[in-house]
Amino acid sequence: MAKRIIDGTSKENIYCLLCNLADLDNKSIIFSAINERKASLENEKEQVDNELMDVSNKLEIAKEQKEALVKGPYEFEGFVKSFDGNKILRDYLGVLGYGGFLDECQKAHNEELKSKDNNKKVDKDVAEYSGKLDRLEEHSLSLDQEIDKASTTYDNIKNATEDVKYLIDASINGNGSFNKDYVIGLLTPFKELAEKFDIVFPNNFVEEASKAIFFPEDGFSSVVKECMGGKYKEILFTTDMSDKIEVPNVEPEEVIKEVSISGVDEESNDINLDDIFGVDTDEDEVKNVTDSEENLDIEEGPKESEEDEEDDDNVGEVIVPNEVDEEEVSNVEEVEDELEEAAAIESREVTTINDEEEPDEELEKTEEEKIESVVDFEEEPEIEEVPEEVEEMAEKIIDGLDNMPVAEEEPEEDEEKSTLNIDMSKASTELKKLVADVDEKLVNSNIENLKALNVSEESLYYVNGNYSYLTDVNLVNKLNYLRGKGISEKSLVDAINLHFIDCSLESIKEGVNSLENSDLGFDKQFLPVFRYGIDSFFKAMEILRNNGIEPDASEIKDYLVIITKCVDNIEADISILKDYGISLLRKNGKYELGLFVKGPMELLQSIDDIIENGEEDLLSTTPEVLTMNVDTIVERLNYVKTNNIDYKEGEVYVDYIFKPGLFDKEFDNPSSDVIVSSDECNSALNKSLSNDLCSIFIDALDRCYKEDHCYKMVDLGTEEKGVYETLKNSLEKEFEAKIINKNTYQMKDTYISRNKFERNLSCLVSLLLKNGEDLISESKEILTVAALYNSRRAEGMITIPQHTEE
Amino acid sequence: MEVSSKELVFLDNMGFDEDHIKEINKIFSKEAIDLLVLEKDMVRININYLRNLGVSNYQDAFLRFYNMFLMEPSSFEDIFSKYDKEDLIAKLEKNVAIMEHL
Repeated sequence: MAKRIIDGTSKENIYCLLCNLADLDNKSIIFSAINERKASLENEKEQVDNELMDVSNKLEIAKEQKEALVKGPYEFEGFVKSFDGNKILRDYLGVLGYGGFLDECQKAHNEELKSKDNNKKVDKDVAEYSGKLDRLEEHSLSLDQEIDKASTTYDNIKNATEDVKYLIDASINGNGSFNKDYVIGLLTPFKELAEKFDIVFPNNFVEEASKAIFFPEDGFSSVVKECMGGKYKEILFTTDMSDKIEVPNVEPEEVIKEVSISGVDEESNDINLDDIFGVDTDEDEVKNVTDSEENLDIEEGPKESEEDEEDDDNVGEVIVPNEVDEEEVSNVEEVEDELEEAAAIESREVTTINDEEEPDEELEKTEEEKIESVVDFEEEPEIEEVPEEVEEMAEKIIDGLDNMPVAEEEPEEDEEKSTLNIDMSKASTELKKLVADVDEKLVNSNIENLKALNVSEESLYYVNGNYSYLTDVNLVNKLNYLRGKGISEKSLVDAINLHFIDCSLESIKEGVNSLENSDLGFDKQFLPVFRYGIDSFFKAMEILRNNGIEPDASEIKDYLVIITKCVDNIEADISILKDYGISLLRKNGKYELGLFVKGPMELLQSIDDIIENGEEDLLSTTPEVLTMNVDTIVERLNYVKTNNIDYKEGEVYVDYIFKPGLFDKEFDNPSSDVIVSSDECNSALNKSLSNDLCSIFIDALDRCYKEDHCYKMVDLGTEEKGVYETLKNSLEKEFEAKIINKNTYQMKDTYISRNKFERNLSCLVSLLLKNGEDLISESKEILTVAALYNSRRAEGMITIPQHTEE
Repeated sequence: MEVSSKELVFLDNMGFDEDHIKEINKIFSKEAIDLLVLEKDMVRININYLRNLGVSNYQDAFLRFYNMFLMEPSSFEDIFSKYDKEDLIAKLEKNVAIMEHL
């Protein structure tokens, strides 16, 4: 393919190129080239695979022929011998005059099949097809690898593109300080990559583009603004041409091919959500929306206007000259340019602007700040009316570019602190101690890197135990490692500011490796997990999978932090859900993993509260209710029930049961009775029973729940089991408790959680039998406490179950 | 607007009024609020993103899908940025439930 050389003689063209690399115009030539390459590889792969199939079939046939040649004669011999072995048949054939028939047949057959020519031809075919097949398989494999490589390159360049976009944004808005090395490090790979696609960037690209980032007011701002405003300017290719080539049509929608789907408006690549949710979307419809998700299309593709299309046509003619080494020239130009820039900036700082062009007022205001943020001044430059110093400063700028980010701190009064590029008076005692124990060079280097990233000031002073970013010997390695894994600068800034990576480099590497070796892969979404430990995440996933819960990628993403942070709740919570027969699946088919935010005791209480309100069905239809504040739901249910208000439409609960705002609006801020705490309820129960035995039983259950965190039935021995069963049966027989739902007893108007009752009873039997108590004679008290303990009913609301014999 | 709940003070100046805070306290479990407080910086970034995007009912989105606000900010942005902004805003305003299907 002929090379395309981008014109570097005009700064504006380089600025356009920089915007293009940030994909501000949605026409990134790099994306286009990679996509073109990928498409070509995929096309080639398809052809190779077809050929492979064809050759494979031919080889199969050739092998069959070969097999027939080897086996055929002997099989025929066997056939003939079977006649030899059958005397009667042979004699019969002889009588008929066919005695020599078989011999003749065999002879003719052998001659034909064993003919050398046949053998040779088939051998040749097999060899030829085998060789061809091997070559094709090898080629197919290498194409697979190349396609994978192209995909990886695409992902990497996408991240780098984001970084350039971020850089440009920060540069234009004056809210960033960048290290020259960082900027060069970011831009150089584009140049190198482009060359692999036969696109030759100007030799001065990296230098000019870096300067544009540092001095956006020199025309770059306006190019960016135009670009972002939709006025795309074509990148010019050099006119010193010796060949004409066609610039491929940029089809950025291919960039997102894997997520672009049907229902796309061809003229606009915007997502048409109507296609997904319909015009009259309502919540019920959303339940089935997952099936339609594949129909989402993505906006990332360009919205190519007619004007753009015309422009595209104009780009078609480009020429390829012999490559010229312009390095020397560009270096000279660079120095000259920087001198000019420095002079221009200084003159603006000191006096008025004499440039022909009126500078942007806003830019002018921030000029000084920007320069300070990017240039490392060793001392306050006194340049007023001293032209030599302007030149001196220009030299500093050139030198200073090697050490860029340095918004230099005011010298500290305390000499000891002055060597650190940070105001240590803001540091905590812990940070001061940590900093005192390490080399200042390390601290300053980390400060420089953190400032170059533009992290928050708080992060600079952040301390967690013995960890601080300033004293982290592996900070740079961590950042570079994550960059190497495709993490963008923006995500790195968040990772620092949100303290995702205040752990060791080793643990990050282990985490990344584990994820890469799993079916999940590693990407930025997993960064918060490092804070809680990647092991916690994998443990959570293992528990879920062991229990038949297989969340998809989207569910993992939505609940990543919850399942990792709350990993210790998951096993017990699932066990409770199983005991009650509650499914984690919501109506829309998604898992309600948010439920694991509650510990087992809290979950148990939520479930029992709903059951004892007579609403067990709510648990099977709407498990998400368990992630919520169940107390307030019960309060709202109590209100509507007390006031005989319908709160269900069929099996569906009215929205206001779950939405307190709606409830308050519907009933004009009603005052409903607040549900009492378990302790209050148990104290009220004690009072209502006014029985010493009951008091002992309540204490026993308190210990069981509060100290032993008992959320399951106690394992009982044989004797204990017998007593337990007797008592349990007596609840139904003697107290007329009816099972009205899977987990609900009803005694007159009181609902009791069956699981809770059985759990309480098993605790009491286990504890009391050990003390030699006669439980059968105390059955009423035991059953009453087991049934009403933790029932959240206030004093006066507790109905003591009555023995039917009384 | 100053928020009234002590724990939810991190939502101060984020466009949540007293009613929203009351609603959060009544809807979210204590454990969920504790987690949100622990991850308040991340939550703030994500709320701000949705707010700056122009989604007027971002408070409802938060009330409904607080778990999604506990997401790495750049990944959170990716959920929304791939759609046409105006269309997305209109759809979210019409029915915030679509958020978990984006």
